[in-house]
Amino acid sequence: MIEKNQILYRNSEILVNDIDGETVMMSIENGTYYGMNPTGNYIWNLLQEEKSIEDLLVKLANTYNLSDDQCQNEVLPFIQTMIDEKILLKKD
Amino acid sequence: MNLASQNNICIQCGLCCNGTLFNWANIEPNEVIDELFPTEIIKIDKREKSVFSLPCQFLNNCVCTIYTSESPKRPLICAKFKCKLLQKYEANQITYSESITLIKKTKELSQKNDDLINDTFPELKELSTSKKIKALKNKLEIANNQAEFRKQFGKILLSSFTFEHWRKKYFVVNKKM
Repeated sequence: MIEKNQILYRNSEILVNDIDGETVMMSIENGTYYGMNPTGNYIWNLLQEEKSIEDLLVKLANTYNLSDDQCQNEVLPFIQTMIDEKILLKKD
Repeated sequence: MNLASQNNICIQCGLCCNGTLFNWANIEPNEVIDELFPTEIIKIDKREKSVFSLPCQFLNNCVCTIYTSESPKRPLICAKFKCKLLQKYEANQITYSESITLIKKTKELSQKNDDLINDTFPELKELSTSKKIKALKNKLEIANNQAEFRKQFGKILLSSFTFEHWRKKYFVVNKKM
């Protein structure tokens, strides 16, 4: 279960390329490539400095006018995927 | 959309024939193709298919020159193929000017990617964009897909992937399931 007070930061082993507002990433570690959707793009940009998941959700909710349900059922699993893929890392 | 501007898009592009987007073009089953086209058999999903290699020697400045009397018969795929961009233009989902802008942007991206690869791997200089990317993938495979290789050549790999992403998004027609 993902804790909302968990602090996240960008994995520096992820290489990033921006092309016409779209973010493309490559993991040096496992060689996987990712084409980020706008939400992933937004999260990545927000994490220029480390932030808690709570902070991310508030900002996403304000920007995209998301309900609590949407944050819980759509955004949180997406953040979890970014963590699972080691695009974002959890601060101990 | 009209046929004249549709042709205009193609003759300002040429990316499907010049090896930027594709390594090869399909030969239709039972089609006999002139020996001037370098053909090969490739395996896709365990199925063999005949193809001819790109870039096409009959392309000159984005224009097909196969219509002169000495030239061989044009392969069927050449008349049949429509990239995603052209399909979108025909369906009025993209304007003429947007199409041209996209083509220009793609050429810039491909040039940038070519330059990056050529600077690091001069032995790939003569290859088309698509074949350069394939050769780069082979190099990665030979290096056993090691993180060290990705770290050393990360910028080139990412640039090539970005180009592939772009190519698929705007030009490659999705296969019907």
